[in-house]
Amino acid sequence: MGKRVCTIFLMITLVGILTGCGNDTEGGSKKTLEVALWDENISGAVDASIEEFNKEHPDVEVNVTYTPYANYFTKLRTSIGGGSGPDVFWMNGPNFSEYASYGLIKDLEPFIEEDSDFSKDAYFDSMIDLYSHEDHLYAAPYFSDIVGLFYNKRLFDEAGLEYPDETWTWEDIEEKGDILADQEEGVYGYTAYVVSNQAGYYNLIPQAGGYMIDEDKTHSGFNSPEAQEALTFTQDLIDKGISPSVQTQIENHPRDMFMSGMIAMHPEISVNAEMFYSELGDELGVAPLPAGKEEGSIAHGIGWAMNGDTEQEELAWDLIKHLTGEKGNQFIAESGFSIPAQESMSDLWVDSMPELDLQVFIDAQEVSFPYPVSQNTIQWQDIEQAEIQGAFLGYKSMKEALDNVAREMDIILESEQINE
Amino acid sequence: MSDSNVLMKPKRSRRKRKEAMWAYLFIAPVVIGLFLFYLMPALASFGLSFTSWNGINPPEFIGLDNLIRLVQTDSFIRSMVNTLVFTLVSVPLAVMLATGIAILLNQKIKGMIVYRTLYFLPVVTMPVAVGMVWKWLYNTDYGLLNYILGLLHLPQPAWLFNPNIALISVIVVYVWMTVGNNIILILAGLQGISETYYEAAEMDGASKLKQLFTITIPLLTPTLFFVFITGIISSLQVFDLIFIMIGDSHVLLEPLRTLVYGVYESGFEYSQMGYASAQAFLLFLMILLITIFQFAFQKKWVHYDG
Repeated sequence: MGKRVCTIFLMITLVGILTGCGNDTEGGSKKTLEVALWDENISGAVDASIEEFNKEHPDVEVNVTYTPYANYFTKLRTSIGGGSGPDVFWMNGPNFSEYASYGLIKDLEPFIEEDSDFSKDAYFDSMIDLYSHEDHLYAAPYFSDIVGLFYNKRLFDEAGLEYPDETWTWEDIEEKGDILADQEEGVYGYTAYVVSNQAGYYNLIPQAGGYMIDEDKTHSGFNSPEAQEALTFTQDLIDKGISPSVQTQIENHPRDMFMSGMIAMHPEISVNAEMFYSELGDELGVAPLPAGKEEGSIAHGIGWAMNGDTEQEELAWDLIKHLTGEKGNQFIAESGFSIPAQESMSDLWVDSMPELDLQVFIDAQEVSFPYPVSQNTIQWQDIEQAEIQGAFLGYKSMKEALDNVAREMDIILESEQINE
Repeated sequence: MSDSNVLMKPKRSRRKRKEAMWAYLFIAPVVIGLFLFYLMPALASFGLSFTSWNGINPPEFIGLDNLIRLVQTDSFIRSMVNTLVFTLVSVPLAVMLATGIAILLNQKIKGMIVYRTLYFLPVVTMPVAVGMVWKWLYNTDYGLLNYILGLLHLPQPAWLFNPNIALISVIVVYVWMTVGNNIILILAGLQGISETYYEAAEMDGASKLKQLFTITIPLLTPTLFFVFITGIISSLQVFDLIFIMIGDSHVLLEPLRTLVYGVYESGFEYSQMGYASAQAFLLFLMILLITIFQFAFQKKWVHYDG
C-alpha cells in the first residue's frame, strides 16, 4: 500500500497549498460584498443601512470589517495591491488623491450619470470638492467633520467667566486661557493642539491668512510668515502653561485630558461631539473656533469608495447609495456621530443632542477652509508632523523646522508634477 | 540514523528506499513552506531591489538607483547607526547579564523553579504587550518610574522624548525581554559541564573564582557563541518593540528608527516596494557578513570540549 498512500498524501498537500493561493470566492451561490472602515462608533448607522440594502438584495451577504485607524490604510493598500481587498470601503482626505490617481478606486461618475437617485448637489460643497479628482467624484460623501471649540462649563463657572461665543478671537484664548489654567490642580486653559494637525495648526495657519499648500498644489506654505505666526502663537500658549506641552500631548492625548476635566477649552473635530457628551454630559459646551485675522475652520469628512477591481460593481454601487443616500444620512444624523454629508439632514443631526449647540458646526461649513491635499499627502504630512513636533520638543528651532518642511514638501510636490 | 545509512549504502534495499520516501514526505510540508514563503519571496525581493515598484504598476528596472538613493539619505544612515548601536550595546549586555544570572540560578536552593520562571516570563510575553506596558512605565508625567523618582526627589527624565536617552530606554526593555531566553540556553550549557572537572579542581585546591574562569567560562564558550550569533541576528532585525514604543508619533522615530523600521515605512506606509527591498537586501548582506566574521573569529575564543 505504501507508495500509493504516499502519492495521495503528497497530492493532497500540494492541492491544499495551491488552492490556498487562489481565491475562494467562486464557490457557493450566495454573493458577498466586503466592507471595510475604521470607526466602530458608527456601526449602528452602518448596520442600519446594510439592513435596508438587504431588504432589496436578500441574496447578498455583506461582511463588515473594522480595522483600527493606525493600521487601516496599511492593510487596505497591501490587500488592494495583492489584487483583493474590500469591495466598498472608507476613504479620507490625505489618502484620496493617491488612490484615485492610481485607479485603485472607481470613478463614480458613470454610475451617477445613469442614476437619477444620486445627486451631487445634495451634499456639502466642501465634501464634493474633497472627493473629486479631475472633476470626477471618486468617493461618495458619508459625513463631514469640521472643527469647533469644545469647552468645560464647570471650569468656566468656577473661574467666573462667560462662556466662549462667536465674537472670540486669538486674544481671548490667551487672556481667558490664562485665567482658567491652574497649575496646582493640573488644569490647563486651552489645548494648543500639535499632535492633531487637523484640529490644531491647520486652522490657525489659514486664520492667520496663510495656507498649507497653494491652489495649484505645487508649493508649500509652511515657510510663510503666516505659518510662523500661527505656530509662534501655539508655542506662546505652551510656554505660558496655558496649554499642555507637546510631550504631554503625545504621551497623554489631549482628547482624554479634556474628557477628564483637565482642559477647559479644546478645539476638536465634530466627530467627537457624541463621545465628549456621553463623558462630560451637561458640563460640555461648544462654540465656533475663535478667529484670527480670518475666521473659519478646516473642513474634512469621510467618503465611501469602491475598489477599482471589484467584480460586482452594480451591487457595490447600490450599497454605496444606501449608505450615502437619504436614509443612510438619516441614520448618521440620529446616531449623533457627525454631520451627515447631505446638507438637508443637518437639522436632524443638530436635534440629536439638543443640549449642545451643534448648529455651530453647520454654520462653520459656510466659512470653512479646504483640507490640504496633494497626490502624496501622507508623505509630506509625516515629515511635517515630525519636524514641527521636533521643534516643539526643542530638537531644533521652529524656523528651521518650517524651512525643512517647506523644502521637503516642495520636492515631493515637484515629483508629483513629473509623474503626471 | 546517519550511521545506518552509511552501512546500507552499497546495496539499498527496496525497504530502505521506501523508508527514504517516507522521510521526504514528512519533511515535504516544511521544505515546500520554506520554499514558498521564505526562499521565493527573498529571491523576488532581491530582484525587486533593482526596480521602482509601488505595488501596483509593473516594476520598472532602475539598476542601482535605489542603493545610490539609500546611501545619500540621512534617515537611512541614521537607522544604520541606531541599529548598530542598539546591537553593540544590547547583545553583550544581555549575554553578560544572562551568564551571571544563569550561574546564580544553577545553584541548588529552595524555590529555584520560581526564580527561573520569573526570569523567563518576559520571553513568553508578546513584544506588543511588553512595549505597551513599558510605554506607560516610561510616561513622563504619570508614569510609575517617574512617580517613584519624584518621591525620592530625583530628576524625572523624559525617557522616550529626550533624544539622548531614548535609545537607551528602549535597549533596557529589549535586554529585559531577551535575557530570559539567553538564561535558559546558558543554563543548559552549564548543566552540560561534567562535575568531574570541578571535583579535580577541588582536589587541586582551586578557589571557586578560579574554577569559574578556568572551567565554567571556557567550557561555556560554545553556548555563548550560539547565544551571540542568534542574539546579534535578531537584534539587527529589531522592529516590533520599537514600532509599539514609537506609536503614531513620527517625532519619536528619528532617535529610534532602525533598519527594519525603514523597510516597513518605505514598503507599507509609502508603497515604495523596490526601495524597501533594497534596504532589506542591504540588511541581509550586513547580517551575512557579520555572521561569517563571527564564525571565522570563533577559533580565537570558542573551546569545544574534546
